[in-house]
Amino acid sequence: MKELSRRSFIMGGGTIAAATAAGLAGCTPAGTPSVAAGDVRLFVPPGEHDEYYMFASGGHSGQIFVIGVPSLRRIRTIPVFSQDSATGYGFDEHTKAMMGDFTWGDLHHPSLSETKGDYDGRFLFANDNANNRAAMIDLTTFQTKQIVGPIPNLMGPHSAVFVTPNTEYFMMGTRFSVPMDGAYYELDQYSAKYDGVMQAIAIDQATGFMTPAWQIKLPPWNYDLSDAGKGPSEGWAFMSTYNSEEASTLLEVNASKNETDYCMCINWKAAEQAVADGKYTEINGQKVIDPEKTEGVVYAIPAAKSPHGVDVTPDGKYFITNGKLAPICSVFSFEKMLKAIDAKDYLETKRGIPILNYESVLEAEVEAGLGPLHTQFGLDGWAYTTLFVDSTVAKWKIGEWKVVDTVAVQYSPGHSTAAEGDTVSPDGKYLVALNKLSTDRHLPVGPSHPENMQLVDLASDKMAVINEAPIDPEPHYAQTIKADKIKTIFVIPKDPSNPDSIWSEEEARIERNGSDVTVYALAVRSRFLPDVVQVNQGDNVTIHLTNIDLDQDITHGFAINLHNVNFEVQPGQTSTVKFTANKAGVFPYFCSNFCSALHQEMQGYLLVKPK
Amino acid sequence: MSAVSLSNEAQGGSAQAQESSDPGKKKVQPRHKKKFPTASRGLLIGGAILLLVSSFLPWWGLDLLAPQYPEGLSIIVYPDKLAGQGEYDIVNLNALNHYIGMDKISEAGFPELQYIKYIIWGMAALIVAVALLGSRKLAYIACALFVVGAAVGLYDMYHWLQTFGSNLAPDAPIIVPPFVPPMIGENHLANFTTYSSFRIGFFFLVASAVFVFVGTWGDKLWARKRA
Repeated sequence: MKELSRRSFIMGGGTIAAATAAGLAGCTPAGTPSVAAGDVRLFVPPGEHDEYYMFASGGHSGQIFVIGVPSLRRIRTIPVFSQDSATGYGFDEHTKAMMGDFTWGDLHHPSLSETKGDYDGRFLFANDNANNRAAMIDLTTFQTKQIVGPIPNLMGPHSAVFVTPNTEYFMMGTRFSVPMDGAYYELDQYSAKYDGVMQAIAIDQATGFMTPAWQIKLPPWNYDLSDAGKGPSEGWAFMSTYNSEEASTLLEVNASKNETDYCMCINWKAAEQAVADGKYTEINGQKVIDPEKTEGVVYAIPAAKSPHGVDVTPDGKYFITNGKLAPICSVFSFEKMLKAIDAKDYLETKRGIPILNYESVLEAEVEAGLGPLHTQFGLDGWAYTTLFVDSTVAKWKIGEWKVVDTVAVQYSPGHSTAAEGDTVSPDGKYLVALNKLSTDRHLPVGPSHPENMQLVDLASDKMAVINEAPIDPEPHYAQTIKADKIKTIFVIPKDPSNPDSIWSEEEARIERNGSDVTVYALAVRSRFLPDVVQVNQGDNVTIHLTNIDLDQDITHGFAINLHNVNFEVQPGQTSTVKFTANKAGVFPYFCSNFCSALHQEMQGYLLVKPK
Repeated sequence: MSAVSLSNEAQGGSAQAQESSDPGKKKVQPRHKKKFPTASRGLLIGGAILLLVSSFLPWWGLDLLAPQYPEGLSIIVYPDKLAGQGEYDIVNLNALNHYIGMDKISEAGFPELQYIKYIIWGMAALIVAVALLGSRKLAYIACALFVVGAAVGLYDMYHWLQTFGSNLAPDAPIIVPPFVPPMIGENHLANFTTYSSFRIGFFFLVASAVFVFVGTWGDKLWARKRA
């Protein structure tokens, strides 16, 4: 390892400690906000549309936030892993079944579908770090269409690879290691019995539907972030890891001891081939590849101290680990990596994984600043690295490897998202820093402040913060896609073949079969039919409701007083709710989503006859 | 068809030959009493084609604009169907119209949509026959049918506009005085401004009528001019 980088690790560590202490003491980093008041570059007049959609993960809110760029206006919140009474997500039978036993999730990384390494605007995938699931959102409706999982053998799939360049797979690696077979072992068995996992989920190209395909068993380290190779490196994936110490308690200290952890290099095409060749073991119904038994799938490169993000350059020639606890970005050459593998230039082999020689694979070390977390890309090889501790974004160029500009952001950015900034053809123009702290930036709302998004102008030579908006907890990663790539529909296509749907007032009816009552109902401006539903106490009631208003934005809600029932039907949508009429009495039901001039009159009565 | 047209031409040819070879024997007919010259037949065929084309085009339309509908809603009337600018315009118009108690607008509610197209095709066939046979009598019938058709058609339209605007359900949530939407021009109702107008198919109809009328009487006018 280079003497320089060794020195900078140590120096960096010391400076981080000082900076963090200062932060804890309540001081805010110096540097005046560089917002130019009334900047025309950010002005989107009323009625005009933004140039980009930004899809930000909502973290433990379990949602996706859809934000317009450059205005930073929040356009929509898409419930994914969490219930949302405003849309009835998690209240109607279909979405309840999708959510399974969980009412929340920790949505970390959104990932737009790609064709040839470029966003294609079809689907959005996301991971649930809490419950080992993945979700797919259809971008014609901005609705969650599928949740898979909990997937066996995984625990905390924080490390989303995003998608492979042609959306063959959505991949995610585990943050936590647990015994893979689900057996019980005490923590003193951690190194022997605990495993990390890399999960590949196959994507159906027509529908976007996901099927868990195969898994790679990995050492019990923590896998943090990842990115797919592209261009020359297509077929590979890169994943950062910390806790190569294999600590199981007080990770803050015990997982920060090694000077280097690893950047994992995974040949996913080789893994796919191994599965096709039957070189896998089945564990809990999952096809698991073990690198100790199957060579040529997993390699690792030492990377500076607990690296956080790993990012592949737009040309696919380099992959970069962001040091986190070291003030550098390590830039690895894919070509050199292949040569090192060919030459078996290994330092050692750990659990069947060849550890490549850092010096042999390294292209450059970029002295980025304190706490480098993530790197995004712009035009002409420009790269932008967020520095959590410095609270800046640093700009440097691929090939020159030197920071030429920094901009202060308020405060402590995690990820950032540049316009199409992780694709094969970034747009430049804008970058949004997703700051973890807003401290004094907005009107105070008590001890906890909102997160803070700041728009950085990339079009000028010198970066500047030109817009800012608070946001609910908590965007981690976000992706920013050119608005014209997304083609939404305005009405759910009328589907008379759906047996639950009705499309005319004549078809509205109540069917009884013993104590099972099924209501075929419709909502249309401004009435429900039927608008009287009489049942006996104890009946099992199913209500299928179709919104036959085939008009954009005419969404109806359906809420029943005192029944914890509320869901929406979008134009043309049919939804179903089931409940047992346990309470005798009279319960109005009403449209809960303002629909029309006579919305207030849109109601009915549920009459539950006492036993 | 070709056999008929060939024999017609042959007849026309022989009549001319007779005129020139033996002028004294046969009384010379005034030019306009004779069968149609080629130009007239061409106009008649043209009229038939225009008519045929019009049967596939919209004849009339109503555009509705409201603050909530910046892109507008439309009802577009074809000889055989109703359509909108958007797939669900008519569904949505009915949803809105029910607030004032207007009857549902649907293709099934207009029986004439079932047969207008065939009348048009029949007319076109008749005009083709006129052109081929050169029969003035048939031509006059065709012209008369045009006049009658136009009158009946316009009356039919007025009748429907009047019926929909006047027969409003008395228990409608919003009571508006009965009205007759204009056949052409602007009207206001609540938050809606409507613009009604004839559409391209109608102008094909008019053009067809002009062609057929000129085809029928044109040669007489030309003859008179010359004289």
